[in-house]
Order: sequence, then C-alpha cells, then structure tokens
Amino acid sequence: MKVEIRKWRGVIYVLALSGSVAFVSFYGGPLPYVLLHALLLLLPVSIVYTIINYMNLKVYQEIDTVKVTKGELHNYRATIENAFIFPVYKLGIFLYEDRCIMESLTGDLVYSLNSKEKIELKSEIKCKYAGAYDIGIEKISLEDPFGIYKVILDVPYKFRAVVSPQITDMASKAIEIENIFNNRGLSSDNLVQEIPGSDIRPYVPGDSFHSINWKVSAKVGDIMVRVPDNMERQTVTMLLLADEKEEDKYTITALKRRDYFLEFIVSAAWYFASEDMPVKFIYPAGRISQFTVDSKKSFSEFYSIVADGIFYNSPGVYKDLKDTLQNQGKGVYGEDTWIVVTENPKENEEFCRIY
Amino acid sequence: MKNSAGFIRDIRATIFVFIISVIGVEVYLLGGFSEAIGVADLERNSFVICTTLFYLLFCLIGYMINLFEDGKMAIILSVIVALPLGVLLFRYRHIALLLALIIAVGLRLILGLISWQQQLIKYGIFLIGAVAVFLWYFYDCFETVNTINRLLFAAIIVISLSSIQQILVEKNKGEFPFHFFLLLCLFILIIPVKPKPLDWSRVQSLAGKIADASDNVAYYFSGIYDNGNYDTGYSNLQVNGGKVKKSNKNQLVLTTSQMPYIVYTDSTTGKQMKGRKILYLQGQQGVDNRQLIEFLQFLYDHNVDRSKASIFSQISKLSVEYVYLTTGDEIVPRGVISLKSSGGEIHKKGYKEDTVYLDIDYGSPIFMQLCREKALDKPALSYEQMCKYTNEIYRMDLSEIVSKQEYEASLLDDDLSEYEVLPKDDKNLHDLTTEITRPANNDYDKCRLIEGYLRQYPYTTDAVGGYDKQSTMATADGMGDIAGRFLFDTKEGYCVHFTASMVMLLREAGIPARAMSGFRYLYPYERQKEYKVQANCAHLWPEAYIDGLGWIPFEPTSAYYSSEEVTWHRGEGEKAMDNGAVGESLATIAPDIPIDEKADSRKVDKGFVVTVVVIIVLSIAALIGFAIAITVLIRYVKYKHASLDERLIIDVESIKLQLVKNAASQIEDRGLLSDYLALVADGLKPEVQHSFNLYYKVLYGGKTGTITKEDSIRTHQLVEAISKS
Repeated sequence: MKVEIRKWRGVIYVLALSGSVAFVSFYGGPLPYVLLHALLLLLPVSIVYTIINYMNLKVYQEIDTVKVTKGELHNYRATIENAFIFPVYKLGIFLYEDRCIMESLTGDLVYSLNSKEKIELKSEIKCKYAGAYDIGIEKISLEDPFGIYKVILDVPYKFRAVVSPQITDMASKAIEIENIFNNRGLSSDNLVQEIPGSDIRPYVPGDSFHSINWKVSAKVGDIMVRVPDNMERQTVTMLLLADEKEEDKYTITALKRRDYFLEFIVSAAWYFASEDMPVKFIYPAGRISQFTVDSKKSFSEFYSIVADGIFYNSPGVYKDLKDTLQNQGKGVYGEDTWIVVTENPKENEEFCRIY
Repeated sequence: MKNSAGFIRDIRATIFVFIISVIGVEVYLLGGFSEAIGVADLERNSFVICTTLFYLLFCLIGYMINLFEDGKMAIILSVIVALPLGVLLFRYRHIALLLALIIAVGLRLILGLISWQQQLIKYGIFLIGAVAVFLWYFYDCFETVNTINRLLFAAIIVISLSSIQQILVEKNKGEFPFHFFLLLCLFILIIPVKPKPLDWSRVQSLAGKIADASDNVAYYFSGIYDNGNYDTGYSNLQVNGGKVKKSNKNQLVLTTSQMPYIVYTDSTTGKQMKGRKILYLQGQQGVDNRQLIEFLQFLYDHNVDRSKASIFSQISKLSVEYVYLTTGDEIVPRGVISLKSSGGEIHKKGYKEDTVYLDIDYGSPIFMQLCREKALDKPALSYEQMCKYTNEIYRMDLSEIVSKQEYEASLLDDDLSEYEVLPKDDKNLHDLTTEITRPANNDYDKCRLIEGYLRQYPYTTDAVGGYDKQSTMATADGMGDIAGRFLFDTKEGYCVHFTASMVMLLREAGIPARAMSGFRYLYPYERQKEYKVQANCAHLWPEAYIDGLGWIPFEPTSAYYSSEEVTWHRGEGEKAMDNGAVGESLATIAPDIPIDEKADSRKVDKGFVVTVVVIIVLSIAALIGFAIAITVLIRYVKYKHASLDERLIIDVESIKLQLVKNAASQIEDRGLLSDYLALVADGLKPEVQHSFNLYYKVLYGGKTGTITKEDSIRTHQLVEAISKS
C-alpha cells in the first residue's frame, strides 16, 4: 500500500481546522462545534469511505486461452464491479506495463462506478516474457473528496498467466551438438538405432532395397540382403539449475532471466527432438524430476509443462539437484554428456557448461 | 443506477429545503410577519419538520411515479396529493400545517421543474449559509443546542463542502458522491455539542504536567555530562571548591505564614525601613535537641526573660517541599526543634515537611553582648524547671519536643573531638590565627575577628580547590588544603573556601568548628504564597562551638551580608550605636590581608574598565534616546491623525504640563483649569483663557466639529510659547 499526500491541500486543511478550533475557543453552540466536528471528521470518514469502497470492489480478469505464448496477441478482459451502495469515484487503474502490453488500454485509466455498477475493460494483450507471472491490472487507487491523499492498493485478485517460451535456435549455437558427438562418441545402453549389419540372408519381399548387398548377390547369383544390427545411440543429459531465490522472482530482472532460461531449454529440446536425439532433462518441479525428450511428441509434452513447471518446494531441492552432478560418469548414466544450464549464474559460473 | 442517482439528488434537495425552512421561519419570527401572513402562533421546530416531511413525501411519490412515468410530469403528479391534504388542513384550521404544505409544494415544483436545480443548490448554499451565520452572529439565532439547530448547521456545512468540492477541486467537471457527505453528516450528529466555548484548562494542566515531566527528565539526566564543572545546588561536604556555574533550578518550595521582612526605624534618618529576612536551611538527619537545650540553658544563665529573649529570638514555622533535589538529608531551617513529614515520598520530589524552629538573630547587639558576657554560675536546670522556663520564655511546651531521657542525655558532655581535628601541615594557619585573634579575650570575639578578616577576601565562583584534586570539605586535611591555597595563594573564592578557612582558623584558635551545608535564602520584599529556593542559593557556612552557648553560625563569605547587617533591629535605641562602635573596633583590630607582590600582574587593566564603562554609558544613552524618539514619534503621529477637537485636548493637556513644569511646584489636579490659569504669565492669560474655554466646549458641549482650524493652530502655538516662557 502506498499513500501519497498532496502537501498544499494538507496545509489548507490544517489551516481550516486550526481556524475552526480558534472559532470554537471563543464561541460555543451548534455552529462552531458542528464546523469543528465536520473538519475533524473529514479525513477519518474519507478513510472509512475508501476502505468500504476497496472492500466492496470486485475485479475479475481473464484471457481467452489457458496458456499463452510469449509475443503473441491474446484477448484480455477485466470486469470491475462495485458491490456496495456507496459509489466509487475516480478509481485509478494501474497495469503491469513492464511485462505485458495492452493494445487498447493506454494512458490514465480512471473510472467511476455508481452503486452496484459493473464495467468491463477489453483489450488485446501481448506478454513480453516466458514464465508464470501476474499480468493485467496490478494496482488501483482511491482518493478522498478534496484530494488530500491518494492511496494505491493492490488489486484484490490478480491474474496469473502461464506464458510459454518461443521456440528458437538460440541453444544450438551455444551447445554445438554436432561437435559434442563427433568428439566424444559416447553411447547409452537405453536407446538403440538400426545400422546395416554383417550377416546375410536371401531377399524376402518387403525388405528394403537399401539393405541389398549387391556384391554378395552378384557372387551368389541370387538377391541377398544384410541383417541389421542394433547400435547403441549416443544421449545427453541436461541439468536445469533454476534460480533458488524466491523472494524477488517476480521482478523484471528475474522475469527476463527466466524467459531466457526457458527459451534456451526449449530451443535445446526442440533441436534434439528434431534430430531424433534423446535428451534427458533433470529439473526441479517441486522436487527433482526428469523428462526425456526424444521425439516431437515428447517435446510437445515437455513444452507444455516447462513454462510453469520449474520451481522448488523446499530449499534442499536445489542442493540435491546440484549433487546429482556428482553422478555424472557413474552408475546408470554411464559416460553421458552432461550440459548444466544455470538460470542465475554467480560470478565464477557459466550459464551453460558441458561436462 | 439512474434512479439511485436521482434519489440522492432528491435527498440533497430535501436537505436544502430543510435549511430554507429553518431560516425562513427564523426570519419570519424575527421580522414579526405573523400579522401579515395571518398565522399567529408558529412553533418553529414543528413547522420545519412538517415542511421537510411534506417535501420528502412528494419526493417519494415522485420516485414511485418515475417507475411508470418519467420527466417533469412525474414532478407535477407527485404534488397532486397535496390538494386533498390541503383541503383537509384548511377545514380543520391547521393553518400552520397548511402553510408548511404550501411551502413544500412550492419548493418541490421549483426545484423539480427547473433544469438548473443542482446549480441552484450548489451556489445557493453559500448565500443561505451566509444568512444563517448573519442571523447567528447579529441576532443570536440558532444558539440553543437542540436537534434542529445542529441539523441545520450540519446540513449547511455538508452541502457547502460538497459544493466546494465540485467547484474548487473538480472545477465543475464532476462531483464526489453525495453519499460521503451524508455519512459525514451522520457522524457529526452523533457527537454532542456544548453551549460554551472549548475549555482549554485541562489541556493547559496537561501541558503543564508534560513540561514538569520533561523538566524532571532533563534534571535527572543533566548531571551526566558535566565536563568536570558542576552546577550550584545542595550537596553534602564532598565538594572540592572547583569552578561552579550558577544554576537556577528550583530545589525547594517554602511556605510560611510569617512576614518575609522586618520593619524598623532607621536610627540615622528616622524613616521606617523594610528589611528582608534571611533564612538558613541546613541538611541534617533529624532534629538536634541538644542545641536547643544548650541555648535555653544559656538564656537562663544570663537571666534572660521573655521580653529580652523576644529581641533576638522567636519560635517560627515553615513548610519545606522538595522539588528537584536528590539527597538523603532532611533540609530544615537552622535551629529546628520539630519536624513532621506531611506528604510525598521521603526525600523525593514532592516530599513535604512541616517544621518548627527557633529563629535567632545572631547579629542582634543584645545577643552579641550576652555572648561576650560571662555567664552567672548557675547549676543546670532540671527537666521540670527547664520546661517551666521554656514556657515562660516562648510559651512552648518543651515536653512535647524533648523527653526527660533526652534532656538528661543532652546535659552530658558531647564529644567534640572530630571538630578539633587539624590538618597535618598547619604552621601557616596557626601563625595566621595567632595574629588575627591576638586582640580577642574571649572565644566569641575570636570568632568575630576571624570572620571579619575573611570577609576582606573577594568573592568569585571561578575558583580552584586545593592543591590536591581529591581534597574535599569532608576531611580536615582536605579542608586545610583548600583553606591554605585560598588564604595564601589564590586569595579569592566562594563559600566553600571561606568556610574551609574559617573552620581551620577556628580550630587553630582552639575553638571546635564545623562546616554546615544547605541553603541561604533571602526573602523577597513582598509576601508570597510560596517561596522558591533555587540551586544558586546553595551555601556552605561555618559554625563554632562556644562553651555554654552551643553552636553559633558565622558568615565569612564576603558576597553575603553578615549577621549584623541583617539584624532584626529589635530593641534598638542607644543600643544601635553600641553595636556600631563594637563593629568599628573589631574592624580596626583585624589585620589586612597581606598584599601579594604578584598582584600587580593581575591588576585590572584600567583601559579595559574605561572601555566597558563607556560602552555601558553609551548604550544607556542610546536606549534612552531611542525611547524618547519613539515617544516623540508616536505623539507626532497621534497628533497628526487626530481630529481638531482631539488636537485641542492634547494641546491643553500639554499646556497644563508645561505650566506645572515652569512653576516647578506640585499642583493638585482638581479638574479645574482655573488653577492652571493662575500659573500663566499675564501676557498670555487671555489666549490661554480662550483655549481653555474651547476645551470646555469640546468636553461638555456635546457637539463635535466646533473647533476651527485657526483655534487649533493658535492653541498649538500657545504650547510652544509657554514652553519658551
């Protein structure tokens, strides 16, 4: 809550009050006392009136879809209702201008509502960042009749939007996937792909023409095909170290950081999915979770959860997440390539590091 | 919503109608229009309520009609019901009610049919309010504290506030909902109203209490940072004689029914004189009855009867209240014989004690003579005899103060060894004592000589203590150190130094002596309800033990009057001359204080003194000159702006003053100008007589503007002529 006082009006009020006190010091009776009481009660009754207005103000906000995408236009609607008999005068509306753009709602938004009156505000909205955060109306303001004070309060109900990141190629440049596999030649025992084999058998209708071994067929005089072998496929693990600080996670800096983080992850996942390369994501979804993206279908699933699915439900989860990095090269994961993406890297850390 | 807004507009209009009807009725009653209208009795409150209720009824009917029919027709239809109602009222001769109905109908139609109803109320309220204030101020209307009057002003104020909000804040582009002002009106009506102006006495007393509380806090914390100096104020003997700064914090409040001054006839001039009394208050534990008994025995031994005792002693009463004083001692008047607590927490602020004390005039010649005389060799009185003697002398029952056991215990010799202790290195003191007391042949004269010797030393609070910073008045060595430095080195100081010196010198002379701490309070000339003793009255003085008499105080500090100078002057006559002779002889016997060769370097610079004196004289002259200039200027401006009649009066008064001044004698102003005419020189008499006649004309003629400009100029010129003559 923030209260702004207009000094000059306050001074005039104090002068009027002092005058009435002086008046009542010399004269008794109804006129002096009623005047004094009126001036004395002016501010307290204004405060009471403001409180009543605020308590009976209903604000509902909605968007046409459940999840929106960053940078895309969506339809936004806000309904503001005065649920009491006391009219609301000059209600000021303040939007979240730093994180979303309202195409139709610009400038000073000041509305007055009569008793039980409802107004509807409609606009197209574009969210600037990926993630889960409040958009639309942030605060409202109310004043007293003589403009001595203006109180700015949080809107009773805020609207939380889930904004999915855009899919770009920012991650591929950073990670250099081709080089990772050419140099390392690592493999996983989970996933396999077929390669032409060394065993031969006669051609059966339905076999692929690519599997015909022409050399052997010429020798034998009959069409012979190779029997395919399973080759172990190479895989990657991405460890997503989201920012553990909860207290300032809705600041613009934090939103921008999260936006970049999500876009990077999604870009990386999209790249792996389009190359049919499996990538295991280890991330905090309350507690430590993992998700493997190895196809477009699995990517879609991952994409739908990533915008609001990365969070910690206790401080220990972050520590445990960092400890999983110690498992790199051991146990189940073998000698996988590990890519650690840190949302809020410290001074001696990198945003993206490959192990 | 539309209906809701219209409903509020009707409420505002109803309130406006109420205001108009109240003021209208008041004007009607004041103007005496009852005959013209034909309504003999009009009960104000009922009429107003009826008019308002009728209007409200029409509004409600209109509101219902609005559900079916909109526009101005609804207004007209809403007053239809007034017709049958009016007929009924007329039939049953309720003329006042009929009038109320008619007024309500009229206002409903006016306010309902005009398109500028809101503007009418918005601006009209200021005019109506001004009329209400006018009637309140000049005709004492609406002064009674009743519901209608409170409603009236509440209504005027809320509608005015609403109008001010629209005009000044919104610039007529909008208005704050009238619901707020209705709510404000409701709250205003809840709070009661008083017929008399605001009583600030409680606030004043609260402010006084807060000021006292902050004084208390400031006082108790003021001693934390004293930078090595200390303020004056009561303390025990743990003082070292260092620099002090005067403090005027109140430490005690005294209450007494006795006069604070004495009246005596000056033996030289024969005039009646008023002398302020001095009170010594000392810190001690409890009451010292031994002192009282010794003194009574002394009186008995010298055959002092009641009349003689009354010359230099009396029983007095005093109440002492502690203010900003922190001590475990009881602060009592010297010679206290009875002490009772009468309220407050002991030794804290507000602690009060009632005392009875034996007030002795130590400077009385009779008393001093008795001190010098050898006492008759009489045995100590028994308890019963002493009680009888005390009753004869002071009409006091000694048994209420001293029990028999206490009396008999006091007859035993007291151990005075602690009051005879001398410092280790006291050769200089001893030599000085011998020199000073050489002419004396009794202990009392020795005390007087030492006192006289010390009173030659100058007084200053910018002094230093002993050579050893630890030296205090609590030990003999400490006192000796302070006294030695004062007597032979610095040669200036304040009561601490003078007392230390006298105590040491007395002890060197073989007389037991002690230092007493307390207050020395000089009463004012006028009697007061209470007397405030400030910290700068704190004082130290010596007492000497004279065998057969007891402890006698002395005042060696030169800044203060000696006991002879503040004597009560009782029993004077030829005895006053004797006192003077004794004083002179002692003064010639006591040696002067030795002159320090180094004193030249500390001589006051003459040039500096001259400069200071010149500055003071010039400042006084400038002040006087300024005061005269202001007076002259004011007189000139007053004269310039006065009418001719007023100028004549001023000039005649000036003539009278000038005549008295010229005559250089007192004249009683009987209000007759003829007395003054007698003082005028013959040549000017006709002119002066003429002016005096004009003066009488102005004063008693009853008309203004009778004086011409020529008369005024002539009279003014007379003033100058008389002043020159």
